[in-house]
Amino acid sequence: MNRYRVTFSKTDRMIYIGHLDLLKYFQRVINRADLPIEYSKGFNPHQLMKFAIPLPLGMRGEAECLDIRLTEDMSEEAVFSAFEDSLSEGIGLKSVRKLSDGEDNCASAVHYADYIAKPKDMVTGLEDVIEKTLAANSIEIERTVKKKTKVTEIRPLIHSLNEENGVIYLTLATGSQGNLKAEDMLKYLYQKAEKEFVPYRVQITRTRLYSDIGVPL
Amino acid sequence: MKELMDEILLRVEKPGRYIGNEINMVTKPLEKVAVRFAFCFPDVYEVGMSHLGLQILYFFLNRREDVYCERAFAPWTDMEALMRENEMPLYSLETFTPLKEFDFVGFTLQYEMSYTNVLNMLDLANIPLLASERGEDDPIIIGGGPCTYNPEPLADFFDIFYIGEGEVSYDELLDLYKSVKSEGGSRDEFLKKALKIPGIYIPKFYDISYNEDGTIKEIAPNHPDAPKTIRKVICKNMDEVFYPEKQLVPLIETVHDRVTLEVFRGCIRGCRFCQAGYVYRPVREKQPERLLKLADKLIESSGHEEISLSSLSTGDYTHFKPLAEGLLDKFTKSNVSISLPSLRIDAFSLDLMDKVQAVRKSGLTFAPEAGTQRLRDVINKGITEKEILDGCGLAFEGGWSRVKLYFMVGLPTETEEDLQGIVDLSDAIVMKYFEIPKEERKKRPPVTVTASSSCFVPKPFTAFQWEPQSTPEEFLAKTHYVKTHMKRKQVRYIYHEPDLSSLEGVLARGDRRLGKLLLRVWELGAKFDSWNELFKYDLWLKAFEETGISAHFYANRRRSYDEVLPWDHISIGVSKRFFIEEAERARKEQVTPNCRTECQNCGAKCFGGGVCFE
Repeated sequence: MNRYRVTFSKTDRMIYIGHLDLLKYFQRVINRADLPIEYSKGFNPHQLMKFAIPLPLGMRGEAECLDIRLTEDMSEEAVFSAFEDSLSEGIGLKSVRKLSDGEDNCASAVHYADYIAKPKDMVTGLEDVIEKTLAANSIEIERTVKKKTKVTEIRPLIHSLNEENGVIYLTLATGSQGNLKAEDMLKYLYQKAEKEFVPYRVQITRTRLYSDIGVPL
Repeated sequence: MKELMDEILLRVEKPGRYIGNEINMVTKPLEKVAVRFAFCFPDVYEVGMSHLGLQILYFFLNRREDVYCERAFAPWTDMEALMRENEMPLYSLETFTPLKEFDFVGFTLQYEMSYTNVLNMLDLANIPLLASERGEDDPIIIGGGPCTYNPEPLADFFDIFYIGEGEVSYDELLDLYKSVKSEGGSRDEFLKKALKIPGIYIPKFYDISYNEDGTIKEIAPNHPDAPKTIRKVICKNMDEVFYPEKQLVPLIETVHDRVTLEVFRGCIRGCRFCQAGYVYRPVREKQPERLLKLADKLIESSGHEEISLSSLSTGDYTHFKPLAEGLLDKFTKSNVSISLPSLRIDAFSLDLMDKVQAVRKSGLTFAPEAGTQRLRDVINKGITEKEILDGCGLAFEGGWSRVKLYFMVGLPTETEEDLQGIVDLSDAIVMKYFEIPKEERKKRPPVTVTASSSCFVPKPFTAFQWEPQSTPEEFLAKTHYVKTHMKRKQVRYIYHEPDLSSLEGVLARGDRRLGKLLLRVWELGAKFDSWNELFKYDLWLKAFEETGISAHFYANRRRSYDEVLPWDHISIGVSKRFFIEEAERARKEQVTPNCRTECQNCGAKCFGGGVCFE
């Protein structure tokens, strides 16, 4: 199985491109790079590629993951250089790693992610709020899923929270086993700090994806 | 500027419209650039980026090291509101440079109902709307595209109109600009010198005088170098002309998400209502070998998974078969799909569509334009009822069951019989379907015939340029007739509201006096008029009233052959004499053979190329 994990960053102008458009973009990059990508069988063949987890529009990503399947064996270096020549400004290639047989694809493997949030407006009392949040046994928030509001327990989904010089560092459960959106977490913290959370006034970056704490994808 | 972007772009719908950065976007070291050109499409990004002319001119201008062509589109209303609120001027997608800092701001004028967007974009760019109010620090505003064959309603707002195909005179124009600029010359000096370049029309060097009845008395140059008539410029040989080997590949979904291969320019048919068919004469083809090579390069460089063929009537391409087969050969195995334009239906084209479409059998499209053979003869639409029915029969046998028909209402000489013809032809196609055996029919979706009618707009440089357009009330009565007579449940009738077509009718044959109408309606808030959800007819009615301009005078009045027409100083090569002959033949219900069957000496031979010399 010729499966490769491509780790890339998404910054600058590219943060304004949503997930589906990014998928289309990578299809074209792969075509341009002339990589021997494998296609699905069926009436509407599509390239076999899988992203770890969509990056929300507007969020920066420093180490996003994409798995692709090729029809032939290529060296990691060769795949790397094929990609490198075809990418646009704002999508940076970090690494290419050949997956071992039986290794989970990135979408199944991802369990945690690190986030950094930089507020443009001063928020006071966050340190306090974070301390209380981490000390609590249970935290319930309201989330809207498919137009229905649901109350969810999120405490088990928070791995760590930290604030330093006005910057917030978060490690949250990410993926199909349990997912907490950075924005929902921040909204909660802001609410407790009695400050309105205005999404476009907080710059969020997802810096790393993990299969387990301390084990990057 | 860049700091503002985050704040603004995260609050608008589809921010991908405003960031550029597409695959194959051109970047250049600005210090090496002598002339900066902003190519503007006065509609939203997804529409503009689907336009082939933009792709061609973008790479054509950018092939020069000393010129940097960038792009701008009309921001959607949410973006516009935030730009105005934050005093952010309209900027180029490549370098986020405000448009005001460019040497040229060029608009492509594809349809009349984008004119208010042109004004709105100039305003968003802080560029004075009126050419007469622009100074040395303002860019030169230049317009091109099909609407420039009668650009008069926009004459107040443009410094230059470029009449014809961009590949011909832009180099000369840019070289001239560069030399005037380097010598410290003024914009007026540049404009005066530009008068000598073929295809360049500078409206301020022409005075228009009027008769008491409101018609034009004379169009007179007021500068010795201003030519009495400006003849369009076109490429003589399409095999030698520049064509990009790359195309910009948008990062968000656009109207046409594919690479486009331009097969030929012009059309041999001579449909009497069709402006494109006349203004792009003569037909000039590209050789299939070159097209196949280009196809490879375009697919390689873009990563697109679809390629389409473009021309006014691809079925008329003399090398259609080798081209289609060559493309099929190349791409069927490589997951690249080929999208075909509507073709005349025969065994070959059906077989081709079968191969191209693989699984999904989408609808077939016919454009009879008129309901009876008599009226089709009047408009010289060379398609007979038999051809349509035979084509449908073949298609139904081949497994198709959906047919789309395009008609126009309000064509010259139209009577109730012609409207009934729309109903009858739709019915006849349904009946044709029921000729296939019942067991066969059961296996597929039920037959649907969608007949849609648009409102006829008489255009300059057509055989119908003197004809009165139906009034909105007349249009409504006509569509009402068709609607109430369509009885069959398999037939769906779609018709257009006449308001927009009526305004188009005013602007298409308008003169310079419409400048104040456009200005006023823009002030009242008109923009994106071709978008249903944003079109406000009442603003236009108000602007007509306030400016004292009569829509009837421009749209619904019969002009005489000897009236001076607002576009009489522009020449497309096809002579007025020929149009008069065509108008007379239309009246007599006589058809005119196409260019390949028999040359009619329309005048297009003067360009020295194309089908006229085959």
